[in-house]
Formats: sequence, structure tokens, C-alpha cells
Amino acid sequence: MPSAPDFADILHQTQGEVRLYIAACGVPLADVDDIAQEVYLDFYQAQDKRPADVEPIRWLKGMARNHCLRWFAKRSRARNFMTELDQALESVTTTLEDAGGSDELLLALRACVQKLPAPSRSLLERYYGDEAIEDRGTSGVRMAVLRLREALRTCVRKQLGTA
Amino acid sequence: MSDTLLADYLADRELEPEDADRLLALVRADPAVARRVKELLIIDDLCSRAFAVERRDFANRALKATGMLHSKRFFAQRVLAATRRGRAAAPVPRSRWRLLPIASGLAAAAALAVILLLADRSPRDVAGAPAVAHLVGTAQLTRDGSTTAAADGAALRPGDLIEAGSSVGIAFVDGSRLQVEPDARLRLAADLTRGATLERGGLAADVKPQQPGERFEIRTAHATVRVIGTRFSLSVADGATTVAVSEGSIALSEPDRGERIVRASEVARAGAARAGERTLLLDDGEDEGRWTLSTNTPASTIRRSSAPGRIGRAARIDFDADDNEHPWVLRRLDPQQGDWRPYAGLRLWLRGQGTGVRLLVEAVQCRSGELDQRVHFCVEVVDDRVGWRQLDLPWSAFRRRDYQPAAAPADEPFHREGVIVVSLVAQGDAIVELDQVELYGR
Repeated sequence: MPSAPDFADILHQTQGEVRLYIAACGVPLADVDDIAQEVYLDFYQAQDKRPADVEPIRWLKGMARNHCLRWFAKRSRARNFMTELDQALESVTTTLEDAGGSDELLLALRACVQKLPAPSRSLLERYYGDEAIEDRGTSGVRMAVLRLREALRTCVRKQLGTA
Repeated sequence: MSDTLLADYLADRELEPEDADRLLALVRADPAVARRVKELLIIDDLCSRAFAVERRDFANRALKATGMLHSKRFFAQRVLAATRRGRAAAPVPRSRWRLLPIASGLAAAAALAVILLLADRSPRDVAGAPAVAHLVGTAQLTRDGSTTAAADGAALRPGDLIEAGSSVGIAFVDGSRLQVEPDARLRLAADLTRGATLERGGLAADVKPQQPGERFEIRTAHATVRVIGTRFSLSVADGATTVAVSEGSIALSEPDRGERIVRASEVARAGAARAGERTLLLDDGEDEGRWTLSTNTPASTIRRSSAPGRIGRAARIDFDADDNEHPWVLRRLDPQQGDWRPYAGLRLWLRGQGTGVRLLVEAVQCRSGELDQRVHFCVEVVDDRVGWRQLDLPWSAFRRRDYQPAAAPADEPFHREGVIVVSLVAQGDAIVELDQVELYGR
């Protein structure tokens, strides 16, 4: 069992990357943090089983992947589209994943959001804000948000020098 | 690849079976498509973390959850140990039946211990956390004379100085939270486990009840706020400290005035400016349903929702205005809030988006009690900046509005008698948030 300070330091150093990893597996946004919390609870209890030469983030990502697969399996028993898509995505690596830690990505994204026109920022705020996380909007809103995501993706890659 | 297909998938990660097959085939056939999907999932999560305030406190919530696990395990061990001790020390019973209640109690305690060990993961404190708080957002952090850019989730230690370019949260390990305004300057107490000195700017505080022997204090140049467990906002400006309490109570002490208690809905000031001023809170923003939406034509629409506010929640209003018609929201007030004569003006917090849209803040005077004889007075405000600002609107700034009901008395001056409504009119598309609407200057 790790001491609380060790665990807290690991948590703060890795939580952004772990949550991003879970999101990139295709878990809906509303469930990403719940799964991440389960991952850290398991990690807290099983830290002494981690081999000394394995970095915490690698161990955590392995646990996160298992949690995601269990979550997908529970979600659909008949045909698991989410699991199949996750397996297809697992085989590719992206420039954003290679770009560094989650904090840098988040800072780059915030800088890119500031460059958007005010109505676009307002749309993103309404789409992603606390009150709207369950409501993903009409098809028009979905397309508008997709275009904004594409613009942000391009901007973030430029910010990080990976474009 | 069809953008509609991708947009629908990203909206909720599910698709109809036929569409799911199409997306899977595309992703499997072309690694470039797979990379695009994966990067958009990453951007999606980053956007959510940037805009959803509730997601910014993840590290602290996870710490609390593990702390709960730790403390429940400790409690369960104590119960099991007590159970064993109880068995060992119990006197020899004279009757088998006398043992039954004890055995039942011990069995229940042991069962409870096992259940707690296995099942309960709800939040509580973390024992032995390395820092007193964590940052929610990003800020400049000065520690031991060295200044660095601190990332979201950075651990904060006693004596740290935080300077935020934008609003930033300070999440303490006991669950208490300070939301610090842009350009504020806050130093965590060096000698306390919880507390801080606000050197500049403002903050909103949500402080958990303190245990006996614990203290949570926020100091300014003019006063010390001792918190027992409450929600309030605090600001340092113009040579004075202002504290507005929305829940519970605080003790405000000033060097030359001693300590006084400030209770919910009260505002107190310390320092030179505004000393002794009293206010009356008209709306705390906690229930957006108290704001009535109004529009004269279907071409204009208006929606309301709740958003994080200056203190607790704020009423968020989304105006979609037709060119020829201006929608508005109005707040009817309790009858006892109808006498505004002793006060100097209306004050409120407004969060705009820098749209340039003109907004009218109205006070509607109805001296006769007949609504069709009401008279509208207003002050024009332009939504010319992003973020929160406090508007001080003295009565002298209110002018009779062009629009009036047909039966409105022609030359009635603004007496502030029988006033029962505050409203906000938007002369264009705008999203605004309203909080802490109050009368001031009594």
C-alpha cells in the first residue's frame, strides 16, 4: 500500500494523461472521470503489485484499458461496436498523443479557443459546459461543433509543432 | 468520410448498427481516418475539461475517494479489533440468552466492517496529503522566491503565492474551495493548514464546516474573516474589503473595531471606503427559475439555465433577439423588498461575453399597485467585455425609458416607492449571467 503522499503525487502527475487515454478509447465524456476514478482506486490498492521497473503511467494505462473494455462489455452485450472501434483505434498512434503531457495539450487548446470568434467560443461553452454535458444538440449543432473541433485540432497541432 | 457520421458518433459515442458498420469499415481501411477519429476524441475531451467546471476538480475528488477507502479500512479494522476484544473480555454468561444481544451486536458490527471495507467509496478526507490544496486551472505560482507557471492540478503548499490571469480555483483537501478572480493575488497561509491572505482582487469561498480546534481564516490588509463553514465572497478594492455571505455566517474582525458576525444575505465592509454601508440582497442567483422570461414575438427566443456564479450559482440567460423586438427577463420581488427609498442604488454582478450588445437594466416603479400604470426606468450597459464585473448603478443614473405602458403616468419621477421588479432587456443576441443582485448604500 503506498503512502498517501506518494499516491497524491502520482495522481497529480498522471491524471490528465490517464483521462485523455480513457477518452481516446471512445468512452463518452460523461463517463470518463468516473472510470478514471475507479482506475485510481484500484491503483491505490494494488500499488505494491507494480513491478519496480514499470512507470506508474504505464501501469495506470493498462488498468485504464481494462476498465474501458469492461465498461464497453457492460454497455452492449449483443454487439460491441465500442470495443471493436477501440481495438481499431488502439493500433494507431497520433501526433497529439506523441506531443507530450496532457497539461501542454490543455494549455494549447485554451490558447486556440481564445483565437476563435466570440460566437464560436459561446457555442463551445454551451455545448461542453456543466449544464449541457448530457445534451449533445441537433444535427446542425453537431456539425458546427465538429467543424470547431477540426479547427482546434489543426491549431493545437500547430501550437505544439506537430502539424 | 462522411462528416455527419463522425459528428453523430462524437456526439454520444453511439450509432445505429448500419452507421456503426460504416464507421468501423472506414477506420479499419485507412489509418489516416483512424488517426483523425482518435485526435478528435482527444480534442473532445480537452474541450470538455476546458469548459466544464465540474471536471476541473478531478484530482481532488479522486484523492477524497481514496481517503475514504483509507479511513473506512481503518474504521473497519478498529471495529473488528473491538469485536475480538469484546469476546475476550466478556464475563462468563449465566444464561445463553443473555449472550444473544451481545453476539448480535458483534455480528452486526463485523458485518458493517466488512461492508465498509468492500463497498463504500464515497468521498472523505485524505489523511496525510502532501499539500494543503490543489490548483484548479492555471496560474503563476511563487514558492521560495521562484515563480513558475503552475498547471491545472498543481499541488499547493503553505506560503505559496498565486497570481491568476484568469479565474482559478483553490481546492483544499477538506473539500473547501476558493474561486479566485482574474488578476487577484492570494497567498496561502504559512502557519495554518487552511486559510489564505487576499492581497488584491476578489474571491468566492465555499468552506466546509471546521472541526473544533481547526480554523479557516482569510486575511486582507483591513480585516480577518474567520470561517466556521459557509459560503461567501470577498474582495479587496479601493482601500476596502467587502464580504458578502450567502450561507452560514462568518466572524469579521478589524483592528480598530473588534469582531462582528456577518450572517447569510448580509454584506459587510471593512476599511476606509463604504464603511458601515448596509445592503439588501434581492437575488442570489441560486434559482434561475425565479427569473421570468418574456418576449412579444415568436421571432425572439429566450432561455434560462444555471451556471457557476460569483457565489454558488448564477442565473444564465440566453437572448436570441429579433431585430425589431427585444426580449427581457424580469425578477419579481417579495413585498417586503418593495421599499427602496433608503438605498442609494442597485448593484449586481454581470458576466458578459463581449458581444457589444446593449443591455438595459430596469427598475420598474409601480406606486399605484396597478401594473398597467407602472413606469420603467433604466440604465444602459454595453456587453463590452468577457467575464464577470460588478455594476454599481446609483439611482441618479436611472432614466425614464422610451417604452412605457399606455397608462403610465406621464411625468412620474423615480421615487423608488412600490418598486417590485428588476428586469434586463437585451437589444441583440447575448448570453449573460446574473448574480448577487442587491440594493446598496443604506
